[in-house]
Order: sequence, then structure tokens, then C-alpha cells
Amino acid sequence: MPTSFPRLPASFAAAAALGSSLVAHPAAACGGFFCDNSQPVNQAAERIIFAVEDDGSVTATIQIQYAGDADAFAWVLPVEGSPAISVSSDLAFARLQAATNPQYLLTTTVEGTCADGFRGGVPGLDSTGGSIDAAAADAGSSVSVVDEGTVGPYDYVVISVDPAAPVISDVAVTWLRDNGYQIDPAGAERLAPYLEGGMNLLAFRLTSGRSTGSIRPVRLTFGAGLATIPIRPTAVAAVADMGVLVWVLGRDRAIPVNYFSLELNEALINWLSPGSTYDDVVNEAANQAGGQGFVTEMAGDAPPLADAIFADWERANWETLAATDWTGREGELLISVLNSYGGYDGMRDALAANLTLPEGVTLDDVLACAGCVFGWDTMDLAGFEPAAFLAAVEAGAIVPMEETAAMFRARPTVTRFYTTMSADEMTRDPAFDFNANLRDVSNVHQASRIIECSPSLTINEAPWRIVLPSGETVRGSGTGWPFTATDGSMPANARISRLETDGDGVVVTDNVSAIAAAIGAHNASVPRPTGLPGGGGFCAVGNGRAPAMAVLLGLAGLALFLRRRS
Amino acid sequence: MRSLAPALALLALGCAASAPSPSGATMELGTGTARFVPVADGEALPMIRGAQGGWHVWIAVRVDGMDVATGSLTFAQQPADESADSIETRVGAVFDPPDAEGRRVSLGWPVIFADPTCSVGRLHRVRVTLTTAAGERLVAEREILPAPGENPPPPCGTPLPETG
Repeated sequence: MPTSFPRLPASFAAAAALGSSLVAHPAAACGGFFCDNSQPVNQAAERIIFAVEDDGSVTATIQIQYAGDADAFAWVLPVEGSPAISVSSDLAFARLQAATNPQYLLTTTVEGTCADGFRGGVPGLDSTGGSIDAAAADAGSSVSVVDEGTVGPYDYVVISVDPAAPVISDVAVTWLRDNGYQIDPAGAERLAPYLEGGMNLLAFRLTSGRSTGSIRPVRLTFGAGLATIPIRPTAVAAVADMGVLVWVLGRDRAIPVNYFSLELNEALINWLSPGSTYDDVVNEAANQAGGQGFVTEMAGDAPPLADAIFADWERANWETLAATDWTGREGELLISVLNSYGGYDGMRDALAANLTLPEGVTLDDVLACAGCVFGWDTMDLAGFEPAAFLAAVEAGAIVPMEETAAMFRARPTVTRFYTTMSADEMTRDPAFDFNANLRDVSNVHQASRIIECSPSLTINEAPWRIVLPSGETVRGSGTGWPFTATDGSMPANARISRLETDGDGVVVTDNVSAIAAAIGAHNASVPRPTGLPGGGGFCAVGNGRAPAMAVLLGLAGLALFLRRRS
Repeated sequence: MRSLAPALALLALGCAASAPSPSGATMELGTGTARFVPVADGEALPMIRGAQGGWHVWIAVRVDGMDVATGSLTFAQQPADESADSIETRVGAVFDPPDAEGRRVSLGWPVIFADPTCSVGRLHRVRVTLTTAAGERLVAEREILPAPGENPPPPCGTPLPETG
């Protein structure tokens, strides 16, 4: 029987619910790396890039997702001292995610000859499957401002709180609120462990006049130590099964130090429509590990991803634009820059700072279609200085992309982790380290489908068998997938392991046999047509060879698992 | 001053594990993130630095005689000489599936130090209290010796380094 981890009991869920019930306050904001307090329902997967230098120092690039009023935006993070702060790019995250998403590819072959009557095709027959896109009154006297300033669209402040202050977290939050950082007092106690540990609080708010459209990732450079997500404060604003997507750059493949490593049961992926089921499988897999495990979605060479984030041609194009004398060619400059880089973070702020908009024109109009607002022959825009505009674009839009790409160019290995967590599961801050012994993990998963045709069946009626990467064979017909992650028919993890900085780790739960048994039971229940006309064409192919192949592949798969464990 | 001393009444002095609960279950305090490693009184544990700051040691617990799947863990830590207050953190914990002997572990809990620069080489008392959903309590306690680790804190009395 598979062994699974239970969810936390109701008492913890109640504590989380308390926080959740308060996140809708109009002036709410949250703590931790993540924040979407006013409308947590909009919170999608949260994304972080950790880049670990050889000396152990860590740069964290953190995407901030927020939906709500600009005045209510605030974001707080426990830090030590006062880290170096800069802004990064949502576009870089989007490109990185697209380049590293899991892909479940299905190649299809047809055995035998099907009857005519093919209508509409078989979903996935001609494709390669799918890609997952996938209260304290005396706060003032106990709080010291360590650092403050403005970066990108944000004002920020770093404060330290006297450890002797009563209810230290309330003191901190009260001070921040009194100083215009709309931190939600609900859940303030979640900051207490960090403050009691001598850490400071770094808080952000939008600079006056900035809209939420200016919100962009931030980059923080820390000293040497374990890359860690302070997830506990996030629980205040987390929704159920919130996605957490982490890239760790460093010398070797990264591991979750104090979280389980999850290996998905790929039989639960609907290979005919993988995008529809992947998140469900990860969800269930994480739940079966008590909500404290990560799937390693890929691990491999990092430098090739630099070009996916900021391509060489984009850099070269920008260098040409930046080196050109645009005097008297201002419309051409705006159109050229916006056509190539209009979608970059920071472009809105560069325009706002340098361009006096024509009457009735908004920044959104310019960003949507610069050529509709300006002509190539626009000669001289009042108050517009090409050099200043280019410098602002360079600093606010180009450099953050280049810096993100450079992180990948400079480190040999990237590991992508994904999980989902609910508030009641956010009890432990996940930390990441490295293990040079572990193999790369491809984000491309390949299975083979064999459609077992016979003259009495059309191709979309014919049964099929799909050989999974593990070697297991799943039988079925039509467009339906026989297993779902949520019906409890099979465990969602093939294995749950604890990985260490050396060796292969410890398998805590091994469900491989249970999964094979469940697949076998299902396959035995799938009727197989026999006695078909045509000299036994189907029988010879479908009923003779396939089961034997399945057994052989199953044994091969089992042997592979045993070898990995040894 | 908050003290851990009353907890001693719950312990069998000098034992690795807690005194048995009414059900006969015991809890042992150890370390480890991937596997449980027992810790003896006075044993050195490396201080781990989080990139964002702060130093901690990894603490783990192992429960014997009780099939506990989830529970509330309260971690308390203070200098053994009680010269500073205890720092307490309460978390919801899940336990690994039982091992061959039926014991369950919960690994990889960071116990942080409020004054890391002066904690190295100084005995600290760590007490862990498990409260089960059924209300049963197990307490385990150890005196550990924080060791410098890979990224040690600066010497006692030295300001913590600025990050970045």
C-alpha cells in the first residue's frame, strides 16, 4: 500500500483561515516573499530566482504579484542588515518560465489498418503532445531606520526593532503603518521569529504617483548562506494550493534541503492533454507529502537559457539604437524603441519621466501603438531629450534583462522546482543547497502511443497503448485518460525522497510497485477485440506483441528504479 | 525571564528521549534534514546561515511508541545559563511515514539564535514540545553546543555584517 502524508489537522487550518479572513482589508498587504493580499484569488504561481555565487553569497530575484489599489500596496521581507536592492523584470521571468516549462510529448504510431470513417482525427495524433505553461503604542522608540531610499517604482525602508520591545512584531508593523507602509497587522506574529532572530524588515511601497502597472520584480543581494524562502509570513495572503516556482542557479544541481523531493507518478498525467492535468498531479503530489515537497522540473545547463531571456540580437539592436544620434528624429526613435522593447518592464516609467503626452493620449496608447501616436517624421517633441530617454530605458528596461541573463551565463547549472502550498502548510521556510552527485533532469518527457487499428474500427475508435518514460504501459481508447490525480486510485508520487548534499538521498516512500499494480489492474479491465477479420492482423499485433512488450518494458522500468536506488 | 527549567520536570534527566507519556510514547531530539541523527548533551551542531540573515541549527525529533502523523511542535531555545530569554516558535508539523521500527521523524526544523555572535561555543538548551491533535504532549530537551559552521557568525561583540 502506498504511504502518504496526511494534511495538517484542522487546528492549523483554522489558524490559516484566520489570516485569510483578514487579507481582504482594503489597505492590506502581506509579508514574506509573496504578496497579493487584496485579491488573493488572483495569485498565480509565485516565482523566485536564486543565484548562488561560488563564495556562497545569494542574489534573490523575486516576482511580486499584486492586484489592488496602488496606495494599499506594501511588501515586507525579513532581511539581515541592509541588502543591495535593485529592480528586475517580469518579462525575464516570463521568458525563463517558457524556456523551462515541463513538456509532455507524445509520439504516435498506428499499427494495422483502420476502417474508413475517420472523422475529425484523433486528438494529439499529429502533434507532439503539449507543453505546460505548465499594537504597540511605543513603536517609535523601539524602531531604528537602517536604510531607506527609492529603487525603480518603489520606496523602501529597512528597519530594525529593539528585541526588548514587547510584542516585537506588532511594534514593527505599527511603525511601518504609521510611516505609510500599509502592512496588514493580521498575521504580524508570523514575522516574530525573524525579528527575534535579530533580523531586520525590508518594506516596499509604491512611490507616490506610481501605478500598480509599475510593479516589477526586485533583486536583493545577500551575503553567504543557504538560499531560503521565508514562506511563513506568506501564509497570511496565500490561497489554497498556491504555486511556488523556484529557479536555483549555482555550481551543481540544487536540492530542497528541508523539503521532500517529489517524483511524479507520470501515469496520472493525461498524456493526451497534459496541460489539463499537470497542476492537479503536482497539487496532489505535494498534498501527499504534507504540502512540504518540491518537484524538480528540470536541472541542467544554465548558460543556454541566457539567450532565451535576453537574446544576443536584442542586445545588439539596443546597442545600435543607443549609439545613434536621434536629434530631430524623435518620432522615429520612439517608434523604434517601443516596437522592439515596448513590452519591457520599466518602459512605462521611462516614458512617463521623459515624454509630455499629447492632449488626449495616455501612456497605454503610446505603449500599445507608438506609430499611431507619433509619426516617423515627428521632428521635435516638446521637452523630449533623446539621450535622457535612452538612458532611462537603458537603466530601467534593458539592464534588468541583461542582468538576469548574465546570472544564467555566469553559472553552470540551473534547477527548477515547483510545488503548491496552502497556508496551513507554510510552517517551514524551504532552503536550497547543492548536490554534485545528482543527475540532470530533463523538462522534456517523451511517451509513445501505439494505436491498435483493425479493419472494423476507425482510428478514433481503436484502442491504444501508451508506453510511458518509466516503461509502464497504459492501455485505453478514445480521448479519455484512465486515471485522475484526485480520485485516489493511485498515489501522485512515484517516490518521495529526502535529498542531501551528497549521495542519492533517502527514499521515504516508494510507490512504484503500487503504481505498477494499479496500471496492471486497469489494463486488465480494458477489453481487447479479438477474432477480427483480416487474418488476425489486430490479434497478432495488439494481443500478441503488446502485452509482452509491456511486461518487458515494465521490467526494464523496474530495473531502472532499482539501479537508481542502489 | 522566561526559563526552560520547568520543562526539566517533564524529562528524565540525562536521557536522550523524553519521559514516556501516559501512552508510553517517547520523543528524542536530534538533528538532520534528510535523516534523523541523535544528539547527545553537549554535542556540537554547526550553525547554518540563511542567505537573508540569521543563524540556526537544524533540529529534528523522533517519536517512538506513537503513530503521530501531524502535530504542533514548539521549539524553545536559550543559553543554558539562562542569561537570555527563551525564543519560542510554534509550528504545525508533519511526520515522515514510520520507519521499520515504527518510529516517526520530523526533520529539518531551523532553531534560530537571537545573538549568534556570542552563541558559538556556548551551551544552549533546546526544548521541543510536541502536542498531538488528541492533546497528548511529549517534551524532549538537549543542551547543544553551537559550532561555527560553513558561514560562521562574527566573533562575540562584533556587529553583524551588512548584507549586500
